[in-house]
Amino acid sequence: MLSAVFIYNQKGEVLISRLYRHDVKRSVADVFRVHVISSPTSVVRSPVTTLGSTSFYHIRYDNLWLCAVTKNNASAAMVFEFLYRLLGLGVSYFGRFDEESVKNNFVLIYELLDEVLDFGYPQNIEVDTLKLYVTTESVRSTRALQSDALATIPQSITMQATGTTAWRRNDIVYKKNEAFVDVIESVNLIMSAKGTVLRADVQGQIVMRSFLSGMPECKFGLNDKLVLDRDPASGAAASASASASASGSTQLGRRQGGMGGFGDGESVEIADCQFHQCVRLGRFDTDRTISFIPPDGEFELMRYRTTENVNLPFKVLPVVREMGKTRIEYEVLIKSNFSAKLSATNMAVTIPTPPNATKCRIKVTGAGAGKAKYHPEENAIVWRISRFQGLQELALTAVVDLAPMTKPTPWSRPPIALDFQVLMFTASGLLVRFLKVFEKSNYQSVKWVRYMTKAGSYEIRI
Amino acid sequence: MSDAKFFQRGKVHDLRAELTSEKKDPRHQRKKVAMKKVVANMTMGNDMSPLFQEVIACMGVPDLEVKKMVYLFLINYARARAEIANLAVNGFEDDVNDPNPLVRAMAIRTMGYIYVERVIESLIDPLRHCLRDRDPYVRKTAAMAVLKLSMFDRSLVEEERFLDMLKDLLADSNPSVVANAVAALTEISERSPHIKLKLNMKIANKLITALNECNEWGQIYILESLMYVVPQDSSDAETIMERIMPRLQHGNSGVVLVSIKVIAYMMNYVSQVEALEPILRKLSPPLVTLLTSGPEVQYITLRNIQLLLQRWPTILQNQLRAFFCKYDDPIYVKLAKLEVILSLTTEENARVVLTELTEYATEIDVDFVRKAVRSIGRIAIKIELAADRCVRALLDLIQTKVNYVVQEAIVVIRDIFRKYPNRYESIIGTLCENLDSLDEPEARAAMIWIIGQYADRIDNSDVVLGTFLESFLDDTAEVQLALLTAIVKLFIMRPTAGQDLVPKVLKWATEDVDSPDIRDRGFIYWRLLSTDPEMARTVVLSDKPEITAEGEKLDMPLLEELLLQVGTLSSIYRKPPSTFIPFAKKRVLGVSPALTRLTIAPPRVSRLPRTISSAMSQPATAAKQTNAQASDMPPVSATPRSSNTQLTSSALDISSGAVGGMSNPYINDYTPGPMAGNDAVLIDLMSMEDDEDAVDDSAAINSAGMVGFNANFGLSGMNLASMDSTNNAGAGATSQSSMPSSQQVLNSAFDAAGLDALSNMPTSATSLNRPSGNQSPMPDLMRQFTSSFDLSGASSGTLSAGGNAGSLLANSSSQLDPFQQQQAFQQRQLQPAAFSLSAPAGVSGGHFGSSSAFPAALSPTSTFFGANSASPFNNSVPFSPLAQSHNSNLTPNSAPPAIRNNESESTQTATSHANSKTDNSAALSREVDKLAAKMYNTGMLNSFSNNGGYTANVSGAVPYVPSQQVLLDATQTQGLEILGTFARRNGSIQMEMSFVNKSGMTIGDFAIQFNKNTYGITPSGSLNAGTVMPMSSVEVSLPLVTGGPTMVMQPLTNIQIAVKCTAGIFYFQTQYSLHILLEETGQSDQGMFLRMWKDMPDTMQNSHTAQNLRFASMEDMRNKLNMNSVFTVAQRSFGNATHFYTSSKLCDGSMFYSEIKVANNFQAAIIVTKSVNTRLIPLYQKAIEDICTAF
Repeated sequence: MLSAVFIYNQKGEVLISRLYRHDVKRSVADVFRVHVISSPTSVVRSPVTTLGSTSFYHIRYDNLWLCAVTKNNASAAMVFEFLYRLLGLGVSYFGRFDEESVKNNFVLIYELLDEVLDFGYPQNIEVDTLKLYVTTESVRSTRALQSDALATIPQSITMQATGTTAWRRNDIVYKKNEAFVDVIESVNLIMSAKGTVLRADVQGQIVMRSFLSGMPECKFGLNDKLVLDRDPASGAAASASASASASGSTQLGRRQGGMGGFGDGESVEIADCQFHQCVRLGRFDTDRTISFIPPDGEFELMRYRTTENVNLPFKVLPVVREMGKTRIEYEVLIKSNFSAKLSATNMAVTIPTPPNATKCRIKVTGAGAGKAKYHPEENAIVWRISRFQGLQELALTAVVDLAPMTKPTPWSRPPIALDFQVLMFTASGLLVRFLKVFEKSNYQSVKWVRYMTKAGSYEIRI
Repeated sequence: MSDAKFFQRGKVHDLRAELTSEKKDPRHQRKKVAMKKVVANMTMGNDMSPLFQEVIACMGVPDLEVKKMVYLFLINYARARAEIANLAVNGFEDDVNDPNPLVRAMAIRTMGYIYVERVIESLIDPLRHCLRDRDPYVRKTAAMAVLKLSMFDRSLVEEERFLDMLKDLLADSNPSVVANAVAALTEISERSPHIKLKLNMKIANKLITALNECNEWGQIYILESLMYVVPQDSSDAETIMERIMPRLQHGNSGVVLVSIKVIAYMMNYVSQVEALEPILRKLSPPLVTLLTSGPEVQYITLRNIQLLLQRWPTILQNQLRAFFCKYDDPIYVKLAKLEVILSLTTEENARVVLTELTEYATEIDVDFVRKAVRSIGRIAIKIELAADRCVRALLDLIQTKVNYVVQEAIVVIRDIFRKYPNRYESIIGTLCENLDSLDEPEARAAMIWIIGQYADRIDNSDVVLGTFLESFLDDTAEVQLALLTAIVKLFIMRPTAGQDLVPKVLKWATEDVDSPDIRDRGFIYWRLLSTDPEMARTVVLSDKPEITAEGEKLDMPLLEELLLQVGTLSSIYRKPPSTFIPFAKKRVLGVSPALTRLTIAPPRVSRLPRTISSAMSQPATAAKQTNAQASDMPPVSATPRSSNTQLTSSALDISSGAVGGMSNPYINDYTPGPMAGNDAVLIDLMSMEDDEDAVDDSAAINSAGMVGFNANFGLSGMNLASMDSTNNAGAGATSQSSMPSSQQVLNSAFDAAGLDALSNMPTSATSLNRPSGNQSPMPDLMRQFTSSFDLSGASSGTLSAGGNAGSLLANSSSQLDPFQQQQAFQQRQLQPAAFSLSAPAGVSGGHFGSSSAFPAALSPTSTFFGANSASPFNNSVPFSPLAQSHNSNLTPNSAPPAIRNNESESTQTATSHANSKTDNSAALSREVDKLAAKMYNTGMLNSFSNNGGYTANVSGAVPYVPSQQVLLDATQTQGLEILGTFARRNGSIQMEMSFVNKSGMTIGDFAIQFNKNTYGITPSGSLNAGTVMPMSSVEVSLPLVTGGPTMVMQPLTNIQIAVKCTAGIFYFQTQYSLHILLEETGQSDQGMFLRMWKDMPDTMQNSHTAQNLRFASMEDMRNKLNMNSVFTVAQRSFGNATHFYTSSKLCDGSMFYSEIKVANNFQAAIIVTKSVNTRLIPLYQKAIEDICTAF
């Protein structure tokens, strides 16, 4: 298990140093700095570095290096999960997690580190629980451990910290009980220059914001093929109309109009999914029911992955011609492939250019085709389109002049990358069929669902 | 409020003043600020320990924040200032009794961190209370404190009975407490030499129940502890797997990977292959999903996927595209993905992969591009059908003229040339266009090899080589070696073209080069060329051993160990933890009756439609039907299993008889042949030559034979089915895959032999114009030959022979090691492979007659042995290779140059370039160095090297043949009595029998058939018993071979035999002495012996005492053992005892290492044997005892 945790700034100065075991000394912090942070090779070749019998695991975030040190054969995945979680904790406590916020809160961070790791073993890292007793100054006076108020509060804190629903306090009360479900999908695509899809998959995230009183028991349903196929009744219902089932039988409110862009009622084959620890995995395993007691506020309920029948929102047809050694011509055609009722926003198309490009003449065609500009520092033409309607076509042509090079090196032709967001569209076709909330006080709750598809790594090779 | 301002260097005395300030401080704000400054300075690395006293004084401040900072300070400095730390004890004592559980817990937690005698002492009592505290938070903290305590003083924890209290906590009602207790217990046992954690199913079930309620980290600890459960039967393992399967859906990758680890472990205890398939199917999606985590976790996942793929090749089928690299993946992820892509490449997807790799080859990162190019070459070698396309892709890449791409491509093309001779020579012209750009040694050497190899086809090869030769003295050794060989080849092929170059290069090589490698090879060539050009041609232009792309595979024991470490650091580095962690315990698969180590063979012919392949795995219920189908089916090992089950009696009408029944599902180890899924097979017992008699024969089995059968074998049911002949086509496939190894051996043995003969020839030394500095060229050369032989002939561990010069070793081992591992591995694997192919034979219906040809073709050992016996070297060498390799250890100057054999290419593989491999082997070589050093220190080396080589000195001793036993009693038969025994003579196994006819009539027409048995022993000739007259007897010797159809017997050496004669068909069973299966090639060298002995844990050891040995002298005993293939590796004499260290190799390649302590009066011998094949050890020891006590 972990022997120490260090946080460094960009220069390699130690901002936080917490030793948990006597098998390392403070000086190993310098070892890592010398060998990794200040190492002359700028690219990190491995996230794990073992020097002698000491291993350093690091992640980078903002201008920080978070580094965990072990002397044994620790589970590497666990160590990194811990570091990710530590990062999340910092962000949640301080808003941002960077050198400044670390320095500003170093005492608090030490307190947190004392709490989340015991002898190098990760303990409870649930923000909600930790905030009960590791608090920033202002909260401290009310909740903290003043000797006179001891009788009850710490008890509930410790129960909370060790209990079965460590992620939720039981004394939450809301006047209006609401739950928001965001289905956020990232489409990943690798398309070859010839237009064949080499790899397309969707990584979905279901983020929930729950503002529910008490200890609500939630049940959540998707148009997951396995569930629908198993249950013929609901299967028929689902094939009848997904939108009907969404608005009718499931009481799901909607912020926006009907879903468009993909076939209604299709069930979706989920290749794999992972859940927040509040979800009862055993039940999911037996009957594919997603049931849980949600943490308060925002959390990621599940992650899923689909690889079949991905609706690619955009099709890109690039033609890149190298005209001798001095000129490159681009023709890039983009077609949107979703309902005309929807539109993509914040679209950016990055079209790489060779490092020795000097001048670009760019022309975009089509209604609302946005602006394209050459960014020499990025070696790319960036084409921004604020709004890209469904079933639309836009084109860009560009001629790029190249400076002659003394030593001609071939250009590696990085892929064209797309960035976009499409609201009320899921590339996988996934739909939320219901979200049911049961609580012993039997209150009414309002539920909202929202869909969004954005670009993950959407690459088209040229 | 911002604390950043405290991050500045404070002076100790200023801070002291602040801490002790008398100013009013009602809300402790001043103290707090001062403490923050102290902590900030501590963080920055400034020594704040002088403030110890003042800080302790702050303990009493009733503010939690201050208290926490004081504790932090104590944790940091207490050890350095132990005397003052004692002052803090009072403060702690107050806190541990605080009514607030958080404060109690914090005090316990902090005290545990402070490794100061006094503090720890005062922790003990409160800790005991806290372990029973009513607050779970305190209990879970206390559980951790026990672990801290045990690290400080292990005995203290045991004395104070804290361990028992921890165990009690396993039943705690609170899941967090359980989790921490489990974590503490696990680590305590991991670090303690004598505490061994073992969990039974009852506890395991409880823990798994607690899983559901634990937080994610607790789940990890509990899952980790399940690695200490040794399932006693298959259902235990299946239960555990089933219950933790839901964890694969967990959002925490640590939980997922540790679950996979437990599942991968449990799969070794499953008895049915069918049960494995659904499990493996479920493993794939989570593995792919992990690739959506952060890049660090992706990297860990990818490294582990590689391991899992090697053990379970069927996972992640059709998931190839998930491993395609994204442009912005970190480089370490890309490199790891590339490896996985390569493993997943099959004939079907080779085209897609190739397109993808070509894409990568144009990227920027040099390492990545190189690896991509190299991977293209590996695919060419791995998949023959894709080779054309690969070569075209490589040519395209060469056209890009990017320097490192070109060089990398040339290196892999060299390997392609070796793999597919005479196929792609047309591209040499293109390659030659790039001669000028080659500046890397490896690429230069590769190009030189190509030119040398095809010197007769390249018109200007002499000119080109001449150009290379100009810079000979500036080149690296690698290039020099290549050039030397290439020019000699040129000279042999085109004497006129090479005659100018050869003297030059030989002169330089022998006079101006420092490297002993090159110098020695120069001498060899010189002598070869000047004495016997024909011999030179044979040696230099000999066939090259084949290369394969599979060399990166880990050998089975290592793989197995690493799979017990999935997700950990060790799995990332592919090294056992003990190599980088001092205290690490080696993990092994716990031995239990359920341990099966099943494997699933990957589909060899993957184009097979799924329906058929599933039909193949179906039980042969309707053997006839399937037979008809099978005739046009390609050979497949869908699953190496044809189920037992009720063969319908309708099968009776099929020609010859076979008996379906249950065999023992117990499977021994991964080494013996019949391991793969053999819980039930068709036993092919009798195959009568006369087809017309078949039905009668079957009837005979039913009537007469039935009695004996049921009584003897306890068969559950007996039915007849089709003749289970071996699948001939399948056999061909396997034997092909086995070829590289045996051929390699053959070649290298040949080379060594050729050279040896040569160096023994009377040569006129004067003609050789030697530099006078070299005193004894002859022994020098000899040494190389021997070490070369040693390395090529022995199995994987012979690295120690080269354990001297570090760099050379790293170099040579990187090239040799994969080879040898592979070789050893293949030998082990061969029989399982054979089995997996032959098992479905019952449904695939090859030709009956082919079954006898099949084992012969397959048996690796016969080829192997043949190679050795063909070599005069092995038999006539005057000194042992072993002793010699140690000598070369002692003289660093004579590094083992011939390690790479006579021509460098003969041991180079495609894989020798792999970077990771080099790293590993470098580390390995360090290990070996260490070991060697150790041997010097303990003096073992000396005692060893004094006694090398007992190989051939066995005159006077005879092989041990047990006396004949009555196999078949005349009273059970119609007067036929059979006596028999098994013997091994001159490397072949025989069954020596006497047929005694006690009946009144002549008995004749003898035929014999062996049932499937553990090592597939079958007759290799017919039974020439002729006829036996009444009241007379006949002595027969029946030659036997191993490698026939196999089935695990109980006991392992049991063998069931049927004899047909005019008196009827008789069945009997007998057991043989294991020594008949010991190979004549089982001589291990001392380095190997030491290494293996050290590596094998005590669980693989057994001790046995033999009494009343019948020997006159130690030499007598040694010879006797050697004669029976129990080879003496070393021998040491003590006052009244002698210790022999022996090695033996079983026909399936598994090794036995023993220490035999013999009292000088030969009263008794203690035999301590180690082998991975633990089940066989008692049998092996029994064999030794029999040998030693026989007359």
